[in-house]
Amino acid sequence: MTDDGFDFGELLRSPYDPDPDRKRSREGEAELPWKPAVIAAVLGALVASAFVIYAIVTGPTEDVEAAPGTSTSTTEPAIEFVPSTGLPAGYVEVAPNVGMRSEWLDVSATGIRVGVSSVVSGGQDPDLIDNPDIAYWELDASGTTEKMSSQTLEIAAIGNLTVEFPVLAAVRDPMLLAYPAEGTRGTVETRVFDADASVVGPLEFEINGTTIIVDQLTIGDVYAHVAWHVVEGGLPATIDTIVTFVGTDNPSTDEPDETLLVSPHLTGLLQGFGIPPLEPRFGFSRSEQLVRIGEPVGTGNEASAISVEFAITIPASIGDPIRIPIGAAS
Amino acid sequence: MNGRAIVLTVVGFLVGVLAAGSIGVRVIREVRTTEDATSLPPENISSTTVPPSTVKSEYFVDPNELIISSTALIPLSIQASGDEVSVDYELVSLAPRHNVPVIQFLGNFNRTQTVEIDDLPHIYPRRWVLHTTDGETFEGGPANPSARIARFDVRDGLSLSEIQSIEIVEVLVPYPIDVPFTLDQQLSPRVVVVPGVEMELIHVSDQGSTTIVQVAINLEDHETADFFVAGDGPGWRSAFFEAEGRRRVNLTWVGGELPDEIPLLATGTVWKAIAGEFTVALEGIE
Repeated sequence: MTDDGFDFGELLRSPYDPDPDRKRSREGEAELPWKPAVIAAVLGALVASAFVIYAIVTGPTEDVEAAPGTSTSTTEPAIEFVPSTGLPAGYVEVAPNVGMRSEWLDVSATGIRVGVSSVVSGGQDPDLIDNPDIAYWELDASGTTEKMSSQTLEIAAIGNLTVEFPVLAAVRDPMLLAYPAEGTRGTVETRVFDADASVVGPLEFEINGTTIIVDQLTIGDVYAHVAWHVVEGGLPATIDTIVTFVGTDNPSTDEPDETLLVSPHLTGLLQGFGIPPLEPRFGFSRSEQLVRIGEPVGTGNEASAISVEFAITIPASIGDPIRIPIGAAS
Repeated sequence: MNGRAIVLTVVGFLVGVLAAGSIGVRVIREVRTTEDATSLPPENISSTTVPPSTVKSEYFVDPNELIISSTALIPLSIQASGDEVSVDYELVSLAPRHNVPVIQFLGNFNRTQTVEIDDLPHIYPRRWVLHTTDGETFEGGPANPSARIARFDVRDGLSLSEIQSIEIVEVLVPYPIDVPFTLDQQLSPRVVVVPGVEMELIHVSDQGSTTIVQVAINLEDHETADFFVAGDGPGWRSAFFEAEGRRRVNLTWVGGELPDEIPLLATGTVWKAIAGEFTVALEGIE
């Protein structure tokens, strides 16, 4: 701007301002189009920043297609699948390579039932490992401890046990105590009765300091029933009962084939439905119907006597109690 | 805009992306290293240059297994067709079973039949839920305890890629139960022995020196309970199901006069619910 020959623009111009002469000198040249490039660079930086913010907010990308044992994620640690040598979560070791866990608890007016499942350790073959004998169980609840009434092994799911306890006034913070049987001792006691004997007992047996009373054995032609209990202070037991009608024979076979009444599991057959053919577990008492094998006793198949074998087994000793929490009550 | 301007614009854009991107990558690494460090043991926190570690995951039968009670449920395959999705699976029991005797029963025509342990239903994963990426849910499951395939009725055309997850929300496991009980013709002809299982005295008839007692087993849910009734105590002969196949048991009493309170024993299996929800591993199956 000039006014009266004075150039105010020149006066206000900073020494650092571009030389207008030089600018003018470039006007004749082809000017670089830097403005779009700068704008593009800024836009690019904004786009990249947006991606960065998105990545931070959303976190690492999950690789949902990964096969087991592999991972294509570059930000998550790879998962290596290895065979377990331990027990599944929640199982407590009750014998070498065998664990047990309580699965449910029912409290009713007639008693308390607890379901227990069993597993082998990882890498072990279930076909080669016995389900451990638990001599007996106790329920620790509300400051009192109650001994089991019975324990039963499931047939459809081998290893599942139902343990029954008497009614308790209150059940708070229950805990199972498993007393493992360490070895077993056995004996077979035989008693012979007249052929017309129908009710016998009580009979008393002693094995390794434990006294067992057979309260009553009722014998019919095709049926029998036996009830027994362990005297207070004794070890738990199992008893297999075999009633033999001496002198009877099945004429359709050449071999001597006396009629028997036996504990159901000795037949290896499901009787009717639902009577477990599995070996009974240790207990302090039992009431059992016996099952017939062979021809019915009667005319043409008379017995000269009745012989009864009681095969008694008790634990050789009992290990220290193993505490199994009861967490999943239903 | 001439050709040179376009080139410069592109170059400028790339320079901007690279500059901001390189700074951003460093920021991302820094942020994620800080997050990971909170879940690592103390000895791994000191360095941010540790390469991604390997996490070990243990399995008992198969990497894709679900351990439910003492059984491994292994999904084998998944298929979608029309309005149905199905998951094939296998059940492997981990329960110790050495010296378990062969289980036999008398079948038709008095022929002995053997039951293989592996054929028994160790668990019954009864109710499954399929979740889609769109937030839909479809219920499904196997037809019965012996089945090894879970089916879902879904909307037509649902593809496998739309399946977000599958959960098993109800699992039943069999347990044995013996329940002594009494039935009285006048006072208590019906008794609930366990929830969902009722015993009903149907008929009592004298036949000479014996008495026939007929008991019906009323099950609320035939899938979750199997029961039989026998006499409890002396005086009973064997008990049998009715030939017609109904859940009625005929018992023979030979102990003299039948007591007013008839002593009986319910013995059988109840399927108990196991706590927990179990997510099926879909990644490793086809």
